[in-house]
Amino acid sequence: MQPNDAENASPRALSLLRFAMMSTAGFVALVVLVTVVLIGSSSLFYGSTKEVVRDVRSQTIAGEVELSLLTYQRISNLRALTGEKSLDGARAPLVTAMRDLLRQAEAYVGSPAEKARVDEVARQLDTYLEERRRLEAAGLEAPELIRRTQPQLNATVEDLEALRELNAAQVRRAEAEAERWADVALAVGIGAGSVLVVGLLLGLVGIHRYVLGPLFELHGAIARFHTGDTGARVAVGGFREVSELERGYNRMADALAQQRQAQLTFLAGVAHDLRNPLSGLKLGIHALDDLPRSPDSRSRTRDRLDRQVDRLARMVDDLLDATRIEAGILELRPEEVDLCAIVEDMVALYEPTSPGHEVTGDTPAEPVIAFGDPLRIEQVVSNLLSNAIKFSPNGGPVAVSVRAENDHALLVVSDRGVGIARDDLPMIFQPFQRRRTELAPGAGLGLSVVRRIVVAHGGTIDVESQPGIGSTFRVRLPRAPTG
Amino acid sequence: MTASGSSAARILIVDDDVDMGEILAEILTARGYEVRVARDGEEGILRMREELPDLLVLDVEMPRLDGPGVAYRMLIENAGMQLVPVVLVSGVVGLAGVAARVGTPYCIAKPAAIAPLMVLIERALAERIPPTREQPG
Repeated sequence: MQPNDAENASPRALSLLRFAMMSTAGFVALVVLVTVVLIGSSSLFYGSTKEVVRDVRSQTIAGEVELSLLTYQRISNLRALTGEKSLDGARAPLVTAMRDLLRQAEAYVGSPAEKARVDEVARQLDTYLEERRRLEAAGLEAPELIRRTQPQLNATVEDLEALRELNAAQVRRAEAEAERWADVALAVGIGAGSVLVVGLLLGLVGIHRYVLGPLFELHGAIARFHTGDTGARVAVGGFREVSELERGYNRMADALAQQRQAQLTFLAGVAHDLRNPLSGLKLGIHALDDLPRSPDSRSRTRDRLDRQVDRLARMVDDLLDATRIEAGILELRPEEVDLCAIVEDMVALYEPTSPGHEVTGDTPAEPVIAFGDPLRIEQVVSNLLSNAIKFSPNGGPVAVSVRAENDHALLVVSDRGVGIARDDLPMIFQPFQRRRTELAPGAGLGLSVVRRIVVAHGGTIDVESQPGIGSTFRVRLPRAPTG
Repeated sequence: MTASGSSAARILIVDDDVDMGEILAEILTARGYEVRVARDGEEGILRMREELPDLLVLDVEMPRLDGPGVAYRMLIENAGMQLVPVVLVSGVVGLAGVAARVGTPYCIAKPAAIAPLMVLIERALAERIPPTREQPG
């Protein structure tokens, strides 16, 4: 069958569940990555912004200190030149302001170098103020005072400039850093976005190709099958769940098509088998008019007609019975049954019907009691016996035996008939299976009916057969508890 | 009225249905044919070896050897059998197809009435090519 090839490939097919899990895992990993990068870069931005703000403050402070220092120098020089004592009142707040500013600057220190520079500035300032006070106290002349304090002032101002320059450099560095992280964040953002879009597209294409496509195809095949195209099958492919669905459909369609074919064959067989007695009846009725009117010949013809009618009635009964059992309507009226008695009766019934066959029964002296429906068990024995006779057209022995075996009763029917080909063995208990090599008329229901009855009694049936040598059917039925 | 006195046509009926075979035999005998009956294909071949009939009435589904099997054997045995006209009488579904396979133009579905069956038999007898027999005494 064609789906078999594809069936082998299936265990390797990716499962839809697994695909969904993998996609989700991939998506989550991507989200985690993007989140980590965003958190990292934003905290880095925050850090550099803080640094920039601090450095800018430090710069401003250095500028203010410089301005105050220069103002202080000018006021001091004015005081020395004019001798105006009131100017001292303007100098004191400037000193306090400069000391405050430098304390503030210490709070904005961003690096050891800056700290050293701030300390240096404070030291230089103290040195300048101390020197200035000392020289003023010494009562130097104004030009001399100005000349002597100028170098220390210049040194302090230079340090302040250096502090400003240091801070400016730090701002530039922080800016460059921030820019680099902005680039990284942008790259990660674009990368993650593209991966997401491409992944989504691939996922959609995959879903369409391996899930939706096959499902649509399956839907189409079901619709075609429904409208009568019994050959409608689907190619197996796609995710594992989908291909299991496809295989399931193919198997079901095969089974249905086979069943339909079997029913057609069965109907053809039934029609054929009904036509035989009908044909006998028709010819016989004509013959009653046609033949010489000797009473002997007329009664012979009438007997034949009678037999044909009986045959038809029996066939219709069998057919109805088989159909009912096939439909699962099998009513059992179980009681204790002596299998020996049934077998003896059946052998007595069948023995005279076929002079070419030697029908023998082998039963033990003790009764073998089974628990079952006597009529149905009779049907089992009768079907097996008539089968054995039917399938040994050259005559020969047909043996039936009964034996008690532990908690089972064993019934064996064997013949030396045509046997059953190995290929046919698995099918013989299936309903509507008339073998191609069918040698005798029949609906093909007998053995399936036998099996149903035996199984309904809780028993088993098996067969051993060799073509050209004969067949042996073994039926095991549960014995009655008293047994 | 058809087969006249001295040289009655000989008909062999091959049918596994005993009653059917015998009723037909009786009818044909009453009409002046010389009739023999075989119960299956194998027996039919044996009867033909004993004596070639002028016509064979053949069923399709039979034990041991079925109708088409008989026709095939008649062809390969060759001893005049291939010239015996075959009238297929069967209840099998698709009889025309079987007849085509067997290679006979004469077939009639069961249940058949006597009249059309007789017409067919007479036509087959009329159209047949009589074999040049070198029958051993």
